[in-house]
Amino acid sequence: MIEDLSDIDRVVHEPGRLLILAVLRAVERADFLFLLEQTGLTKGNLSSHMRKLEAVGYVDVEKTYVDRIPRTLYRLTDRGAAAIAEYRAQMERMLASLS
Amino acid sequence: MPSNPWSFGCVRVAVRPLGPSALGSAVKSGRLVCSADRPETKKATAKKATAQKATAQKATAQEEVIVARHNTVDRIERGAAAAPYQDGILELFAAALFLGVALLWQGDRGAFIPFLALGVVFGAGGAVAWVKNKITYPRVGYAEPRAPGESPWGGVAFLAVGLGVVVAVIAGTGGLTSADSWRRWAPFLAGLLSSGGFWYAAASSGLWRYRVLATYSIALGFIVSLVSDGSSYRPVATYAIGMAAVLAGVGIFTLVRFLRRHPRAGPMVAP
Repeated sequence: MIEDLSDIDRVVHEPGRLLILAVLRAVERADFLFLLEQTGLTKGNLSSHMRKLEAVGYVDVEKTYVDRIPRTLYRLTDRGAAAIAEYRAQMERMLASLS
Repeated sequence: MPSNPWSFGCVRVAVRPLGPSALGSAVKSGRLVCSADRPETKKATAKKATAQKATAQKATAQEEVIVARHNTVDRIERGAAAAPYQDGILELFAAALFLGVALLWQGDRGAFIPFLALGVVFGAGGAVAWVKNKITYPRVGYAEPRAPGESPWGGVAFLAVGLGVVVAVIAGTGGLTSADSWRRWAPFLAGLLSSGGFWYAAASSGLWRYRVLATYSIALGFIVSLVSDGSSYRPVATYAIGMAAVLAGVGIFTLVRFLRRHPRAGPMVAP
C-alpha cells in the first residue's frame, strides 16, 4: 500500500487537474471556455493546470481561428487516458487494502 | 460619518477623510507610517512566505470543494458529455425536418423526400455548426461530443429489429401481401426508424429527454397506425406533424432556459 502511495501520479492526483482530465475524457476535444464552465476553476488556475498537463504530454493543444476569433482546443492524449486509468486502478487497490 | 479605505504602500487602512494638513501632521507625529518606506525585515519576509503558502493552500482547498460539489468523477464526465446537447438546437433542427416531411407528404410531394434527406445528410451538419457558433459556443464554450461506439453493427441490428417488428405486426394483422396493411403501419415503421436517432443521442449524452423522445416516437407511430384505416399514406404526415410539434416545444423550452442560464461571454483563449 505504501508503494502504491509513493508511486501515485501527482499530476493526476491534484483535484483541479483530475477535474480537467475527467471533463476531457468525456468529450473528443474542448476549448478553454468549455473547460472553465465545466470545472468552475478560475482562468488563472485553469491556465496553470493546462500548462502542466501539456508539459507532461497528457493534453494536446491546438490553436485555431473561427470567424477571426481565436479558439484554443484541448484533447486528451493516449498517454493522458492511460494515466487516468492507472491512477484509478491505484486508488482502487489502495481503497481495497483499507477495507 | 462613513469611513473610506485608503491605501498606503502595501498596508490598506480605513480612515476618516482628512484634510491635507491633518494628514501631514498625522504622518509627522508617527501616528501614520507607510510600511513601503521601511526596509523589509526577515520577519516580514517570513510573514509574506506564510501568506503565499496560505493562499496556495486556499486555492487547493477551493478546488477540492469544487470536486466534492461534483460528487464523483463519473458525474463530472456525465455532465461534460451532456453539455454539447444543452442548447436544444438539435431538437429545433429535427422539428424543422419533420415539418418538411409532413408538408411534402401532405401536399402529395412525397417524391421530394429523398432530396430532403440528401439535404439533411450534406447540409444539416454545417447549418447546426453555424447556429452553434453564433449562439452556443460564445456562451459555454466549444466541445465535440464523443461518439458512443465505433461499431456500425448496433445501428444495423436496430434497423433489422425495427423492420422485423413491423413485418411481424403487418403479417399478424392483414397479411404481408395486403397494401392496406403496409399503408396502415407505415407511421409505426417511421416512428421506429426515427427513434434510432434519439437513442443514439441518448447514448452519446446520457440525457433522459432523448430516451423520452425515442419512446414518444415509437408510441406516436403505433397510435397513429392503430387509428388509421390504411386507405392512404397520409397518416405518415400526421405522425411527422406530431413529432415536429413536440420537438419544437422541447427545443424552444431548452433554448430559452439555456439562454437565461448562460449570458454571452467574450472571446476566450487561454491566457
